[in-house]
Amino acid sequence: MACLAGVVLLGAILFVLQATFNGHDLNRGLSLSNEAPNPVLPAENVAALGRILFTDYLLAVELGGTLLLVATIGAIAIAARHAEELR
Amino acid sequence: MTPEALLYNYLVVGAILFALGMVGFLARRNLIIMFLCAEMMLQGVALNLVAFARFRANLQGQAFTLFILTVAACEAGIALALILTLYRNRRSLDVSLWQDLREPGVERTVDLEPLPPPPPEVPSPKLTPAGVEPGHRKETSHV
Repeated sequence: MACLAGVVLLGAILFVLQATFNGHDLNRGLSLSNEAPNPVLPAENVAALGRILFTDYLLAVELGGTLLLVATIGAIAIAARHAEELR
Repeated sequence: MTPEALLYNYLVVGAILFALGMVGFLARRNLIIMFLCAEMMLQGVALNLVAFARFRANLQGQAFTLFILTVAACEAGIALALILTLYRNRRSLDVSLWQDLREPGVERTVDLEPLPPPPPEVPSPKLTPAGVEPGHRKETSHV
């Protein structure tokens, strides 16, 4: 049953992909901006990624760090045994 | 290879990852396996994001994938803690033991295919006692 559902899902996704790639020009169909059709990534990818993380997404990075801290504390609070059970 | 073909290949791999994760999530009953399958679905989506980021040649997709990984790490920690708690309660990782958590008004799912019986416990090996047991001193006075 689950395998059937998975095969159906995969077939649907592949069908949509095939139809999209055959039928439309992806650059014109999905483009939201007026940039060049196939621009190139910056050469130093990691440096540019760090730059964009600490300029445009600085707030999100801080929130992600806070989320990690809260998740760590929560995991410890959930999973830690009480002191009486240890004895 | 044209950029479109490259994107297509990445998307196909992402779709396969997602479908595999969904099959595993629906078919398996072990809590940890289900959790790992959910992670696999997440990675399929992240692969789509990276492929589109490369196709569009901007970095937003990669940055968003980093945030997805962050949230996935948090989720992994919490999920493993919860699984540990559930295992301590029932001594089993089977999800069907936790049907009490279903929504109200939903019928209880009946197992058409019950779990195989647990394997018999292997008795722990016994070592022949070596040495001499020291004599226990008796209490001499009872007050």
